[in-house]
Amino acid sequence: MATHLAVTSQKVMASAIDELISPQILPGENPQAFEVFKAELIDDLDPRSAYERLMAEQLVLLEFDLTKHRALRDALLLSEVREMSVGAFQKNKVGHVHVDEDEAARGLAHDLVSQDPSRRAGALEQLADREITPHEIAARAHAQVLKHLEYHDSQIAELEKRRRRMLGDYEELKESARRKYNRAYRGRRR
Amino acid sequence: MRGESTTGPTVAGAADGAVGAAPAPRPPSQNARRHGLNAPPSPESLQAALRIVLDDPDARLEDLGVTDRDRAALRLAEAEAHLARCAAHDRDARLGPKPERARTEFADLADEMRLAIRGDDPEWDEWVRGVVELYNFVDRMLCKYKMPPTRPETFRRYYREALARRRKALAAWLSILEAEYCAGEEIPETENCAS
Repeated sequence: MATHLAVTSQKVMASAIDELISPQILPGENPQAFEVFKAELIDDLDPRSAYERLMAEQLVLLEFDLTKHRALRDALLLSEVREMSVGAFQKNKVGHVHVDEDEAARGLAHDLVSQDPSRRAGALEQLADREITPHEIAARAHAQVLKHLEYHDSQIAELEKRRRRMLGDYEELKESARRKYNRAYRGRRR
Repeated sequence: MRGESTTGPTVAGAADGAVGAAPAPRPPSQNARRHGLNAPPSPESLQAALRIVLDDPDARLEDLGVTDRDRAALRLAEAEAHLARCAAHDRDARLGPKPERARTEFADLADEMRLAIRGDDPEWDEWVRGVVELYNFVDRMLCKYKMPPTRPETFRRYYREALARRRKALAAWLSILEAEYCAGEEIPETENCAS
């Protein structure tokens, strides 16, 4: 009977948290990846009460958004590096190619930003032959999309600030609970 | 004081208590009114927040009394419910799909007028295109001045204010809990319960 009551209470509290923290999975986000991410972070934060759990979930969402903005920022820069490098491979000049794009140059551009080290090494060799450094392409790409990068940078800065504040609140809550249990423990010993 | 949000909801009976009495709220801004961020939180979300704050699955709003403890719990629950709503709006504004632009009846007129383009009379077609452009211009201007979109920065501000409000309510709630722990037992002199 006691176990049944405990389970019911847990369900009520879980639905109360769901009422305030909707998963808000946006288009392009993977719900399973979010759940794994959430489970790991909640495990680290180790919430012991319903309120601690709520704050932990708020922190998870902040952390998830931070990851998302960082990924978007990196993807933006990487795609611009790829576009700029087409010109480097085709015309020996860093920049976009708007007409008569060469298929081989496009392939090398994809190799350059590939996660496969051997493909990337091949593209880097080709670049070296043309006396163009990857830093040159990255710098030009960065300048090209600076305005869009700044949007994500400002969001990242804002989210980091929020995370600091939220963590401060969470620590205060945990500290209060610690003091309560320490006193209760000392009270029992007396 | 940013902690007392100008865009936060106002709940009757909670503002005039012993727990950090709030100043009279300012009239809501147009943005807040349009997005409902200035409305009191829904009873469901408030109830949910109260249960979480009190760590009591049976807690009910109607059972709250007028003690400092109950007022502080209610204030914190309100702050949490409001923060949840601001967080959802803020996230949608930052990462969600771009909302569709508002339309006026002039946009519909432009669509209807566009059907009048015949293709065999360049002079007529040019005149029709001019009218379509004019209708679209009026539509854009009306949208711009009557229904400006809420910018993400606005939601960012609401979120910050909601977070500051929660922080203040949390501090009040924790100080009440602290006083309860201290009253419940004899504390050694080295511990400062008043802090």
